[in-house]
Amino acid sequence: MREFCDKRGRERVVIGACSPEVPENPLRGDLEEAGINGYLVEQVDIREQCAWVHSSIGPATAKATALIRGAIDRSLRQEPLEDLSFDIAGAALIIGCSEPGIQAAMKISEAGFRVYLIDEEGSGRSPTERTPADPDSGILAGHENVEILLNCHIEAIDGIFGRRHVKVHTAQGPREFEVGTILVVTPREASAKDSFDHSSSDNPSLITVAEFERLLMGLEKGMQPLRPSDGAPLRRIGFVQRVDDDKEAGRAAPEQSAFIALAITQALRLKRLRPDMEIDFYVHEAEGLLRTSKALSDSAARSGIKFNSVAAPPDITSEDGSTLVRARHLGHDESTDVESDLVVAVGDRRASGMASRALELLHAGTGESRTGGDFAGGQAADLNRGIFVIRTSDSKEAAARADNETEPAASAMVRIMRQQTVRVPRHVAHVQEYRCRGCGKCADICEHDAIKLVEKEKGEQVAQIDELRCEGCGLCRVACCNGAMALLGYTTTQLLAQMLGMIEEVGG
Amino acid sequence: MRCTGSIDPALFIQAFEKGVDGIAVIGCRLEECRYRFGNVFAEEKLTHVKGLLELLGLSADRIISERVTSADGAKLADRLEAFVNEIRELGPVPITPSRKAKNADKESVDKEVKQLVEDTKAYKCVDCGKCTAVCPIPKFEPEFPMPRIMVLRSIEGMTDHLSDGQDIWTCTTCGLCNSLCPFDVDYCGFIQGLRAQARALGNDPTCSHRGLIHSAMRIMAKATSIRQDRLRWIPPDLSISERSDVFYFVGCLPHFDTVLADRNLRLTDISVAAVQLMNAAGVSPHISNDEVCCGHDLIWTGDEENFLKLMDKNLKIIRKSGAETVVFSCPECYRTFLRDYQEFEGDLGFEPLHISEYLQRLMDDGRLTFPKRESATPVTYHDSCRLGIHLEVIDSPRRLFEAAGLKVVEMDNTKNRSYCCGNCAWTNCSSTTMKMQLERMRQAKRTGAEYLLTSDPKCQIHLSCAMSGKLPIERELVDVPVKDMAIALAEILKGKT
Ligand code: SF4
Ligand code: SF4
Ligand code: SF4
Ligand code: SF4
Ligand code: SF4
Repeated sequence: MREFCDKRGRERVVIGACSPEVPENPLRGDLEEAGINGYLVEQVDIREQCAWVHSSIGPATAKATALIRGAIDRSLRQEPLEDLSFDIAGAALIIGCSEPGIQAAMKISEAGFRVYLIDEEGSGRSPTERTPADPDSGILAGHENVEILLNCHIEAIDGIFGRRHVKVHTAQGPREFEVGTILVVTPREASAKDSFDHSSSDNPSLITVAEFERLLMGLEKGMQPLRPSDGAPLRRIGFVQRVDDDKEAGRAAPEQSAFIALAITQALRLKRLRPDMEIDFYVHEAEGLLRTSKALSDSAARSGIKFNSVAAPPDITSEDGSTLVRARHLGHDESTDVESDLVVAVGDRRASGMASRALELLHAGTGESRTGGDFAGGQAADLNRGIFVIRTSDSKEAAARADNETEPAASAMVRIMRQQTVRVPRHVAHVQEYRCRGCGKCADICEHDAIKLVEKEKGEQVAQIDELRCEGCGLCRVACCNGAMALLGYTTTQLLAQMLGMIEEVGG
Repeated sequence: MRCTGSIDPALFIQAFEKGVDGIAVIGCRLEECRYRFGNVFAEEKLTHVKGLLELLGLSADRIISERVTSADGAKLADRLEAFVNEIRELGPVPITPSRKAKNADKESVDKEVKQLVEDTKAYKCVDCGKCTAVCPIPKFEPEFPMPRIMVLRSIEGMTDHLSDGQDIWTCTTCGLCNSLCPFDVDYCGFIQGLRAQARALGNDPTCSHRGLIHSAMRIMAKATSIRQDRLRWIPPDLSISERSDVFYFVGCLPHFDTVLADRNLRLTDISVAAVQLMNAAGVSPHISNDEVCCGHDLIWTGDEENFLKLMDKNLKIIRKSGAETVVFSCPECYRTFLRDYQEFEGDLGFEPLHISEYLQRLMDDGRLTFPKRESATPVTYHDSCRLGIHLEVIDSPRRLFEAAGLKVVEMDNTKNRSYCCGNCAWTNCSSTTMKMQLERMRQAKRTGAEYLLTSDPKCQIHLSCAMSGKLPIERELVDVPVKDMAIALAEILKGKT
């Protein structure tokens, strides 16, 4: 290929081969060495799209031809770009002093990097619940690179990939440090039920978000879930936001937002499967819905899900198989009872607060695929930006899986820190200033605080992208009604050309 | 794609326009978004796209969304197979994709432009500069070539800018320059013609909403034997007739409601109000499920081919209905019928009227009366460029307001010297557009009116768009609620103020 490009002075290359989504794509690497800008190289995944999924050669070839045609048309509209580059600090933050956290800390410190191992709890807990990372227990003896900070509270995590600035509060006072990679070890599965009083958590109709997820998966497979108490059909479901009693009033807990968001997506899925289902959300007045959930809850409200703002967490009682949600709505003195067939308790266990808070601050998703498992192969840094998640749980399988994930996650962290500088494709948002109306809708949707409105001249604002914060999700592009926002490498012109090329090839 | 959340609804509609029969969206499970809510966002957009498909008469089942993990290969294969079978059953999308025409050569364009200079009397221009002085754009965008320059360029036979220039798309075709030209140059007709030539040269406009709206319009033009679903907005208590002398032309309001769903504009309430007002005067109009877009936005973006298809469909349906009068809520449809359809077709055989003219007529005949009101509510009225400047329908709305007990306080720029809402035919919306809109809202605010009444749903869309986001100035300077005139009148009729 190099010779071919050298001789003929090619500028753009389309490759028909296997998946381009491999770390340090060797084909692209070779072409870049031959002086071709990597952004002008398109790679079509013929193997997975055609060879692996078609049994006869005719359709497979036709599809391959169309895919290549699309790639050519797209490539013709690509612009040469420069990668973004991130400097990586040689220190790691590990959140959660349980077994996986300690194992990873040892591994990373053996590779010569500093590790901050933090936990919100102190030492001396029961060894069956958690492995005590008590400095006195000797388990980390000989690992001077590991600093253990217990009774710790995360104040803030700012900065960008590779240089994240962490502020924590410990019993000994505040601490600040800079880290290149972060591992979040989450404690066992959320059990919001724990926070309702004992009588009600015996109620089989009061379930957690995780339990509801299993129910929903069944529903998606065509099963008909019934009321747990007596097997009657489900008609009305309440989602109740749980709030810590000892929380400062009026201060929203960031870790809550991930759970609320998850619950709303569940409710939306349910509504789509069963449009007739009545769904009520009870949101605590002081907590409210956090910013990230606003777009979501608006969308849910539009699909007919009812949001109630309540002054205090509702009481849940059971009576003859049905469950009563007694809530005092904002601005009302009387409580009202709503009969529900199922109540989902939304919220995190307090104990997992730190992990959730960290994920929230890092704008990292909380779903399964964010766990170490997916990143174990050491995916391109572009995909995970130095953040790894290991989800532990009470169940044996989950513990075993967490064990399996620890070593690959730690190795990937070491690999990133060894590189010192990591290049990330510049697939980021880009504003066409002339078209930008300065409405800020893009900034509202951005999860990563990558968009700011700045004054262009008096009485005129324009959106500005922080390319190092932007993760290239492309939501802002769709949110901008006027097409002023583009995603580099995925612009409307490029995608449209690719699509039309394919259509023409198939139809023509 | 990086995330299903970054798929633009415009791409879906454009794919169908080009003859794609079905689209499967395959992405991560909802709770497993790498970007937290990208896929939820995608699902929401998909519901809008599906709504639009139904309106257009294409089944919403032509799109599926599968949320899978890497372990779901077999399941996905089954689903896709079932989907393909379902699409086979639905049959191909009944759209004949137009072959991409080869770009026109310069010679023929030069010839056309020469003819255009003749037809629009552009040759009469004496370079007096009156047009330039009134054009609202250069005030905010000094690089905008004055209308005068555009005319002179063409007179001199200069056509190079047509193949890539943006200016002809930036002009809002508001017609102010037209109405002031002492030598009768038909500037808007001139721009309309130039745009067709620009398009022939491959210079497409940068469409707002990334071409989604034009694409939906082209689907209406090109689709054959398709059953639209456009009458859902009609509440049961409206009186409409199978046959009537009066044909009420709804236009694209249901489509805009779907496309702009997240703005919650409820534009079809305008149609409800219009019919309520007619009902109050004892008129039960005919409304057709078979009408299509009038084609205004296509002809003003140079797409004459599809414009003509739309025109043919509409004329056939209206003539078949036997109606003598066609009433429009949208001045753009009205202008398109009155000017463009007649230009191509000659006499249409029926009388097009804007709702304000029609209601005024009903009022003059004593059929429509408004309840007496104690004190007059101060309102201001935005003459849309089509109605106020192009067609000079100026008194009818004002007489209605007066009769309904509304007191019109005029803005600085008003009547046939009105000030454009900033956008025409969904092209080249920009920072300049935003500034023009804020200027207009500021004028409205200064009158102290309680409402800014519009007679053009699109002005309402664009002006309220400016107010829907963050503002570069204090909101108090511009915040006047924008309301359609028919809605305001219907409310008064019902005794609401
Ligand atoms: S959404 Fe679009 S127009 Fe609005 S500020 Fe962002 S880029 Fe500009
Ligand atoms: S692409 Fe995503 S991360 Fe980047 S600015 Fe847009 S919304 Fe934010
Ligand atoms: S107003 Fe008419 S005559 Fe005067 S410069 Fe403009 S087009 Fe020419
Ligand atoms: S039509 Fe309006 S926007 Fe266009 S050049 Fe004339 S005055 Fe300016
Ligand atoms: S002003 Fe009009 S064209 Fe521009 S973004 Fe808003 S609605 Fe779209």
